Amino acid sequence: MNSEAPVESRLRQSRRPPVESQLRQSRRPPVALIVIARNPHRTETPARTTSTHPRGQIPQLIVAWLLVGIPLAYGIYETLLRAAKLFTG
Amino acid sequence: MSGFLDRERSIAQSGYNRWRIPPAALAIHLSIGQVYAFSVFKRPLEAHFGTSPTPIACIFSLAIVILGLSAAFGGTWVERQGPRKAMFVAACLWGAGFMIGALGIATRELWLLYLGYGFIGGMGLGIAYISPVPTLIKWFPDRPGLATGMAIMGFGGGALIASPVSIKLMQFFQQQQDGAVSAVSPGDAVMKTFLVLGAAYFAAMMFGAFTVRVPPSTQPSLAAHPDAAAPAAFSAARAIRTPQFWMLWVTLFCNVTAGIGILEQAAPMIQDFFRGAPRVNVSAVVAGGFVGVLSICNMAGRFVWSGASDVLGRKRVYSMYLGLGIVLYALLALVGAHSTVIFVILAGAILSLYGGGFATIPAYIRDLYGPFQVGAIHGRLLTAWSAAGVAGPLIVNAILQRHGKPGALTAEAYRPAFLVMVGVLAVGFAANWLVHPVRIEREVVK
Repeated sequence: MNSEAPVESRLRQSRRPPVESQLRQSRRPPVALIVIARNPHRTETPARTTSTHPRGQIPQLIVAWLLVGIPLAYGIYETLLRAAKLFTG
Repeated sequence: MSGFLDRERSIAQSGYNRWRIPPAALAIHLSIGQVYAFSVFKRPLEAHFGTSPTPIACIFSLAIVILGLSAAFGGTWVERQGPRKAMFVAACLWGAGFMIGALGIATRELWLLYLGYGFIGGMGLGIAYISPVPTLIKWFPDRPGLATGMAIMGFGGGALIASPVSIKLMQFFQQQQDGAVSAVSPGDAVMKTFLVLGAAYFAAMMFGAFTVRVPPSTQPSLAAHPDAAAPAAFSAARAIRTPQFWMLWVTLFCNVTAGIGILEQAAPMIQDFFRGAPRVNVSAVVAGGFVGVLSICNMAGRFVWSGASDVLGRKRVYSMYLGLGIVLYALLALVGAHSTVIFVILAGAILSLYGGGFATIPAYIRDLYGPFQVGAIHGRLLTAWSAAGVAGPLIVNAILQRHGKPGALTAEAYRPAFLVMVGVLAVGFAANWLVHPVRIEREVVK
């Protein structure tokens, strides 16, 4: 009896649906295949780009944020000055 | 040059810092956000062309309509070509729009202003608006709401920069020419301002185009996140055939209609609400301050609420935009006239929800249809914005005109319009409630 238990367990495992059927039930694998099949442009492997060493990127990161942050901060400041008239009259 | 603009040439190397992408997107959206500051040119252009306000206002309306159409029809092209080429083309169109507009002002040919700023510039607006969105969603699969909120916040923030800069530029050129500054700038000063703005926005958008990178498939931040494997693979053509797309369309339409209802009438509205009230005198300058508060709330809402949607969930946060909007609009109608503070808080909160609705929609699309063609689907959904841009003012003006002219009304005249907006928001709330996850197995895998 005891020796039959593992065998039955193996049989239960073997009763699992075939792989193709599993793929039909599962969302992601077939969908991913469809994405690749329909859009060959998405084979996104790194091309010739600038240096991407994490440390080397920090100055560029700061400059990029400053370039957009300073004008935005100026705009907010000017608007707050205008908005202050709402409360000061 | 064309090769450099290709998607394949803009793929980042592994380890590329993804926080370099939002500034690129912000540069684009801050540039095109100028369109909301077009009103600063209205009076100078009316005086220069010797025309009534309507033909000048139509330039702005044309730009917004073309924005919606080019986003809808150009979305698939943007997806195919990648963000760099799309941003480059958008920069050329937006910059050229200003240059042709300047030529129209110099030659006193109003049609050139329509063609330049309205049509060509409008095409640049549409392509630029959607171009960074899919890239951001791919770089930030763990926080798509926050990422798109950062970019779309720029569209609200662009007007905050453009408005004071344009006024100062017009005053500068006028002083150089006449040695003095008058209330209405001459056409020559407006023309030179257009040239400067066109060149500046072209440069800023080029910064975005050359900084943006498409994530590589080996990016750790993408691989680590469970959603990175894409929940679905819906093309835009398939997405618009699902009922969920149209429910989203109605949801966005209602949210935008309600927000525009306040935005369009903001300055005369606060004056009308407190006309004759004891100890309160809302001058035109103070009303301008109210418009400034609304602009900041609109911008902040795009970032804060969209970021919050990553935690709360997209459907829930839209229920909040629309449900809370119903309560706030009802309160504005019933108790808004009691004090300016209450009025400003309620209107500001409504505008923050309006901004949040705009910024959260790309992440909502990604949740439903996957990241495959977010930009193209987003572009098609933006037709709801164009439609709301027509419907919102039409509804409010039709109701207000029964009582008189905005700027010479009382708070009672606004109540029916606000209560109609409560109804519009209720329709949007129901539409959002009907948005259910798309059945991928049935739709795609057969």
